[in-house]
Amino acid sequence: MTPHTVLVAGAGLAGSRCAESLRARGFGGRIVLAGVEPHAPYERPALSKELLAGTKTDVGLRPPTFWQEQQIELVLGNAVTDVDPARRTAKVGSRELTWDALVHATGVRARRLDGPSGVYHLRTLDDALALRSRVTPDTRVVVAGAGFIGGEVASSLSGIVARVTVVDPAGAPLERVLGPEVGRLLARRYRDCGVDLRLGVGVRAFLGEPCLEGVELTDGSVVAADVVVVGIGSVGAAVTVDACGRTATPGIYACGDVAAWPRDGRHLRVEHWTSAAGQARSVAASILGGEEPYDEPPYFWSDQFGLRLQHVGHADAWHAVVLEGDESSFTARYHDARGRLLAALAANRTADVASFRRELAA
Amino acid sequence: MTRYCISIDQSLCSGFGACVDLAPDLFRLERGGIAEAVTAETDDASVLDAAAACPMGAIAVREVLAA
Repeated sequence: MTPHTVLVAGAGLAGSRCAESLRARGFGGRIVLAGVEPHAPYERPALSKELLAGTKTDVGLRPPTFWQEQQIELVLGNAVTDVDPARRTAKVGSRELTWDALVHATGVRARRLDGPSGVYHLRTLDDALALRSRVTPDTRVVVAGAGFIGGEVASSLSGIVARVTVVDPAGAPLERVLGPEVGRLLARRYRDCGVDLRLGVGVRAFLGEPCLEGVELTDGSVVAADVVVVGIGSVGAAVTVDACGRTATPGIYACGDVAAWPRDGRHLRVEHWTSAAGQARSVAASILGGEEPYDEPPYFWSDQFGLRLQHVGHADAWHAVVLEGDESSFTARYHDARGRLLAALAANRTADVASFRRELAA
Repeated sequence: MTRYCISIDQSLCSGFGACVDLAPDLFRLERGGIAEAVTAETDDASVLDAAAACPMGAIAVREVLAA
């Protein structure tokens, strides 16, 4: 049975694409797209990249008039609460709504390390705008965490401020995801670009009250700082779904960062743009009674220090890494013990990406 | 019938190649891995899927009035 009302909880890429996809597939019923942030759906990957670097200011996914034209009721600044799967009701802000299909697309939150004024996180557009307006050329910036967000923030801000220090307990940037071999290349790149990279140490304490004056590291050293940007991953509950985005409860679906989607015999939460977009299409099809499983290899990209990193596949562990190139342009292939390709990274190697995808999809 | 005008901002393209997967008659990758449109205009609606799947937002599709 085709539903009358679809309630989409979360107005990020996954939620908004699901709503769009329903309309594109000819769904004529009511669509309510509810987001807790006050902004219309926007391009989150740009926050730590172009928006922070100042090369882009409009990050909207669609022109402002689009949602009304598509008859998608955009409810901003309101969470979806009090979901009752038996009565099929929920609250959007203070209003109660009856739904036939509910899509969880609420995403994840930044893992926080709270401190005095001057400590920033980067997850939402408001986070990025606040940080952007705080930094001036003489701001001393410490980035806590050399993961993707940390690397991108350090790169974007190093074009604006004179002093950027990056701190991470690991032995190299992105070591957990990409391994020590690639990490060493990246460390060289960061330092060549003027970053003060402190590895093998974490943040022990924020100094200064009420305003930040510095950071004490776990080796006892102190780095003076006006701004700390914390980039230490994300947290959030996961909603387990099948390959078409359906939960165990009829009428309830999930897509995007919040969804634990089946992949290689287990359920994985993949917090990547392309997964969110692909899963959203799959959920829209499911809501309309179709069956379009999403099973693409995970893909993400990161722009930092003049490198476009593109990673295809997923590997928690690997037997061997085959590196080719140098720190300005390289590929890394991650193999298991039988020589099977698990994942691959291309750094400023656009021409290799499509073939990596084909190889990993096979 | 709706016709669509396709344009690609090649400076944005990352060579992901989803456009070629979704609309192989409309897109191909050049030798450097950058996408190009095989045709400037089409009535094949899969062009919309291809544009939506581009992580870089490099593909713009505009509806043009059919004769």
